[in-house]
Amino acid sequence: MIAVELGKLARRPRTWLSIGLLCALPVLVAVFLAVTELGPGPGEQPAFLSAVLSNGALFPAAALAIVLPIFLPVAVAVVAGDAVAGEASGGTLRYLLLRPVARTRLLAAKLLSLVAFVLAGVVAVAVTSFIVGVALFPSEPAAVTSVSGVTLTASELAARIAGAVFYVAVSMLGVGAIALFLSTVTDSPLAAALGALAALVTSQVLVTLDAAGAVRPYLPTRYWLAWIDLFRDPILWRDIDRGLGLQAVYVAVFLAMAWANFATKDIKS
Amino acid sequence: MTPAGPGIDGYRVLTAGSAALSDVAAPGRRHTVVAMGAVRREALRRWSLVGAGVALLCLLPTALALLPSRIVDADPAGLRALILASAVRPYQGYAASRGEILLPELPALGEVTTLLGPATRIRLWHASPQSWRVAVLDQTGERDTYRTADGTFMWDFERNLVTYVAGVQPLRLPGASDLLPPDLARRLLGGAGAADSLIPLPSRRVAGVDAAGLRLTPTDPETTIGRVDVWADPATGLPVQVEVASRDSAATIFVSRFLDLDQRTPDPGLLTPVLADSAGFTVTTAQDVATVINGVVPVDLPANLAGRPRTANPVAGADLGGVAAYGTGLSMFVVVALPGRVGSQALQAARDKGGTAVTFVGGLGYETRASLIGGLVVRSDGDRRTRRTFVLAGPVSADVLRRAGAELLAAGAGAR
Amino acid sequence: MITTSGLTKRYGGVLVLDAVDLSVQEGDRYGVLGPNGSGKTTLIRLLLGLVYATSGDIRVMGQPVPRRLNTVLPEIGALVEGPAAYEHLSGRVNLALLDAAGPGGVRRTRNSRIAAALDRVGLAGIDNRPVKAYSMGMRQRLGLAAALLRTPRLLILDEPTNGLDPQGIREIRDLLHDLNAAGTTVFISSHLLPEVEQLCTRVGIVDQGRLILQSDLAALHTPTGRVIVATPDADQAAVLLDGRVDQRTGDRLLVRETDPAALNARLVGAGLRVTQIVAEHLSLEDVVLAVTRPGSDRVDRPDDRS
Repeated sequence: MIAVELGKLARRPRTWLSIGLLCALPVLVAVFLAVTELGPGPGEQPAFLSAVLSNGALFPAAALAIVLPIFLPVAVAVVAGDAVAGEASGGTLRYLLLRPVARTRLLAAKLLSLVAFVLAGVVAVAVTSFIVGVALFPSEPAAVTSVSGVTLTASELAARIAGAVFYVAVSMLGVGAIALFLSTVTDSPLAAALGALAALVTSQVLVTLDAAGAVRPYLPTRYWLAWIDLFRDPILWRDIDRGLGLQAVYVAVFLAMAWANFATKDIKS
Repeated sequence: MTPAGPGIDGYRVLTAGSAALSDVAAPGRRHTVVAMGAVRREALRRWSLVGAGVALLCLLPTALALLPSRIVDADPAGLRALILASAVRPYQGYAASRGEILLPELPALGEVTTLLGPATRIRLWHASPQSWRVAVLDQTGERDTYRTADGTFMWDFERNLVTYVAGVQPLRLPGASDLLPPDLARRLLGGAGAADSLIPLPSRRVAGVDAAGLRLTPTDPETTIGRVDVWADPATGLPVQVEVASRDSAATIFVSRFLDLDQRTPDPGLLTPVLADSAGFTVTTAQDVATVINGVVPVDLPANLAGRPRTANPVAGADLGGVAAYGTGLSMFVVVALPGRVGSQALQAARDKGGTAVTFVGGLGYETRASLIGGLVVRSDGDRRTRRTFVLAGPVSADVLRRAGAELLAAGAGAR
Repeated sequence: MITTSGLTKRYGGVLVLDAVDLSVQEGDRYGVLGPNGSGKTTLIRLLLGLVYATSGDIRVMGQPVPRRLNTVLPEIGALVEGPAAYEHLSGRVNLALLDAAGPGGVRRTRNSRIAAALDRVGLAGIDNRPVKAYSMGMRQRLGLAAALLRTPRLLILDEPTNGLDPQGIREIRDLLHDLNAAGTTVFISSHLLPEVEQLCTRVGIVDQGRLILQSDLAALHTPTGRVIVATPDADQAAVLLDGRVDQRTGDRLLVRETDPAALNARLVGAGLRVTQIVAEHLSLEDVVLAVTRPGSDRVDRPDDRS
């Protein structure tokens, strides 16, 4: 079943289109940056962009910072929102269930194919942005300056970028799980994706709001930027650990809700 | 071939034997009592399972927070002594400060504005007062300060800049390290007078330490600080949390606490700046710092202001000229003299941020008041060459600052 | 093969199926007939475990549904509310994906089974066009191929000839006959009388959520106790059979008489010419019209409704 889901994902033009768009945005930013050499000022998002001007090997980190707030979660919400609702609206859900595919198994397969999509997207962004960064900016992969000012070797840099890729991918799973749950509630893929994005925007607004301090540690986007801590020296694990734990909780809760809802749902599509 | 329809009669005759037909004569809806199906029960079971799981997950942090900490009783005076003696203790960890003190962004105040404002995350490694490193973290970078035997190194990621300060800084504006629980607690408690009341507070678990608490309530009428609550490790005296409230309201307006704490000596490798070659590098001397970074102009400041003596310079011989602190303890305030252009900027900033205009004999000023810290920018009358601008700030009442401002203008602190 | 007792389904407050007692025997060609919106599709969804009953029991192949659905479904081929496929993929890829998704789809035999199923439904020569380029009829055939992929013991088909031309309807009917002859139980739903009449051995009539009739088709075609006579000498015949003629249209008479042979002998004995004589049988249409009310797609004013 998992192989089938991955096959469906890989055969879908939309999958490649969205990964392509994900990669294109950082490339566009890189081109503008290389032409104008105007980095963002201190304290301005996205992180790492001004550092890229002096060492292009750090561009994968900047690219992650560029796609993380909007592009990546939108892509994830669309794919996850489509997971069950798309099959339902296309009518194929009933034939899958009649095949028979156990409903819980179908959900698990959908989640795994979502994970595969997220990983593929983030890795693609990292790889293309490294190539673009090295091509467009003066680069010295063996001597990248960490956020703490310490020089990183090429292997340290590779390990930290790999860690950031992994962390960003995991960060997306909370939104993905919300979209997957909504996808079992409605038969409209669009509604599921928009619902998840609404949750995401709410979370992003509340994270910045001091008045919402009491709920901040539980918001899905609370630790999204913690991957930057991987580029500090020594690495600050505290928020990264919490971010991973929080995403695990979100995935567990919304997957459980999806399971509870879907396992006994009347399939009327 | 369509014969005449057999009619209902014919049909009845035909199918009378069929069990299902008994309903035909009564086509109305039969009232059925709907028993809850097995599937609905199953759905209910699943949802209650999920609900219980979610409730458990939500309650877990709350329950953990409510776990009683070990009750630590400590005599407040003894604890205070222990805290004041804890400067030599090593520690490393992660701390957060959160304040509601929104200072106007005056050029002279430098980093203080952001430090006292909303949440600041700080990592620190402290081996001794002469060897430590503090990193102020934010979402897009980091500012590190390394204190070594050779001097102070400052790293700013976003500016890709290393600043090296040779020698010891005699007096400087507060930095991140001053707002961490250990330094802040020692400073505030050190400044307490004999008359100030010290009472014990219930112990509290902070960053894994069962910390004993004490509350300092200053009696000095001129300070705006209403109370200072400090929790410290009763074994080592290391302060782990500090809360400050103003006199006007009971609400805490500044908190600084450890989130992670390890009271072992940090790895010396972490305290040595191994900074990237590609970074920009500036060297200054301690003498310059006050002038260059804070934009101070050398002037003679009076020995007394508003009835408070000028605080003795901690390093003999290093005369700072334009920067001085007055008073002691919790009602201390600083005065910074600013050169012409920077001074005008400061005055303008104070006015734009909603400062209240105050008229003085021989000058004018703008008063700003955050919940704890009062600020006053005054400028003497005169043309561009002769006029002087001063910034006064501290946790003192507006009255004290006004008196000090008036005296500054009257003294006509001139250029040397 | 399929039995339900007291099967009731509500969607929210709306009663969609009301106490349905269905009984399908192994080897039947069973047709569920009913107007649109009568609950046929809901019944099929219930049998297949897609929706869950509000109350009542379902047994398919002796197993309770939906509890033992996973042992039952592999032996069922089904078409529910029209075919569905991934539009951007070809028919073959769709079948392969579906086959790989569940149990029993042995990889080794997959391609040959797909080829055989496509051959059976008349899509043997299909190319790699995506399904979105298919016609209605081709989609319907593809859906049938998917149902036939693993030689099921029971076929449950909702409106199987939807979208097919008369030629295609004939092909599919023959196919279902053949499958049934080979031992497959066929259960179809339809709102088309001729379809059920021509294919099925047993019929159930659903109207407004209730199974109001369930019978062998042969039993429905019972004589009405009247004989239809066509004669050029209709006037004399009417006189001869005075009192027994229910109706006369031109030279056709409808006579109350159970034995056409005896009637024929009497007419011929009286020197009357008979061009046609046949016992009147009930047609399925007569039965359906008698027991059902207008379909849910017709909305009358309340006072017009008798």
